[in-house]
Amino acid sequence: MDLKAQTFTLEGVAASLLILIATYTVFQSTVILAPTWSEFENVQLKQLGYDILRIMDNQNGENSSIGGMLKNLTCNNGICSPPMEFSDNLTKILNAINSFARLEILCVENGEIRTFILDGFEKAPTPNAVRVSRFVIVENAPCVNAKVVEVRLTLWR
Amino acid sequence: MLISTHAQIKMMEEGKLSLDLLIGLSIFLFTFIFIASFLPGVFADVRNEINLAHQAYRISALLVEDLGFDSSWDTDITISNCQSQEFRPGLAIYDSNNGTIFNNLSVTKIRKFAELLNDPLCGERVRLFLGLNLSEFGGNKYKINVSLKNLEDELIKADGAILLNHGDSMSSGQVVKFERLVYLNQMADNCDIIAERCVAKLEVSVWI
Repeated sequence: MDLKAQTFTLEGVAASLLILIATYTVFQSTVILAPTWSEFENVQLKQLGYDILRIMDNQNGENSSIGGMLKNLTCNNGICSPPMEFSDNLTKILNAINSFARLEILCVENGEIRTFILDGFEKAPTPNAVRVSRFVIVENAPCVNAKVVEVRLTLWR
Repeated sequence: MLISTHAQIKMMEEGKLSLDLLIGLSIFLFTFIFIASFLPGVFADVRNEINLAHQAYRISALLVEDLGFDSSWDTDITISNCQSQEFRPGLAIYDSNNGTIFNNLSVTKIRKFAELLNDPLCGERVRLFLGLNLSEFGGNKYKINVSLKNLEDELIKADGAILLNHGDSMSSGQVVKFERLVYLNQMADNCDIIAERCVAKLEVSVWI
């Protein structure tokens, strides 16, 4: 065992000073985080999602609007087939903004929330997907006696 | 000589600072302090660009979700009086029953916006009132380009003329673009008809 004094040597003083300066510098300087551009990408996609639901929710629209789609759904075992105009238009928008989508419809029936998936938009999303919702007033939608349904759009790139 | 000094240290078993230790330590400390003090400055160039994304989002929201100030700015403001009037462009339709209808753009407002941006002096006023000219407060002056395209990326035309593709000419540096989906209150020549609406894409590009 080394019984010689180590801290009182000049090396010991220099070493402790170095450690002190290093620790002080690390904790004192402001840490600048570079912007995470993936956050902005999410903002863009989410805003586009809201825009899509807003545009397609036309009370005067027919089969290609959300209201018209809900009236003309054929549902079977949790999967609903929308009218072709709606699918085509939504696919056109998705191709233009270069993203994939999953569309679900939620409504309350007999006190329970039921979820329906739209045929053609049933792909599973990736972990970095964004989700937007819009409540649409409709009569007798996929759920019996429902007045309001939630249209849930999940978008990812 | 250095070797013999080193040998002396080894034999004497005492801590002594050698010359190469001093030189090495001072070089190291000098570099360390240099990096520690100049590292924040490395991001100084990038800091300006951090704000571009916010400006693009803000301008797109102002144009798409607000009717502008005052409510009849599209008829009140002209090329001749833009220098003396205060106004803020906004393209959304206002309905007396439903208020401002988001994402529903008025073609007359778009035309007026394009006309004002085309004029050099009125364009400066537009940028000032959109909050893009912060030079009075010691900030940056942002350049902007706004365009309306259809879903196939072609510029929207109404009556044969391009509706909106105005602003500064695109730069080759870092440009941030924000897109919004909108529908016009009148039919245009080449917009996409979705849910009985004339749908288009508004792109706002901002750079320094």
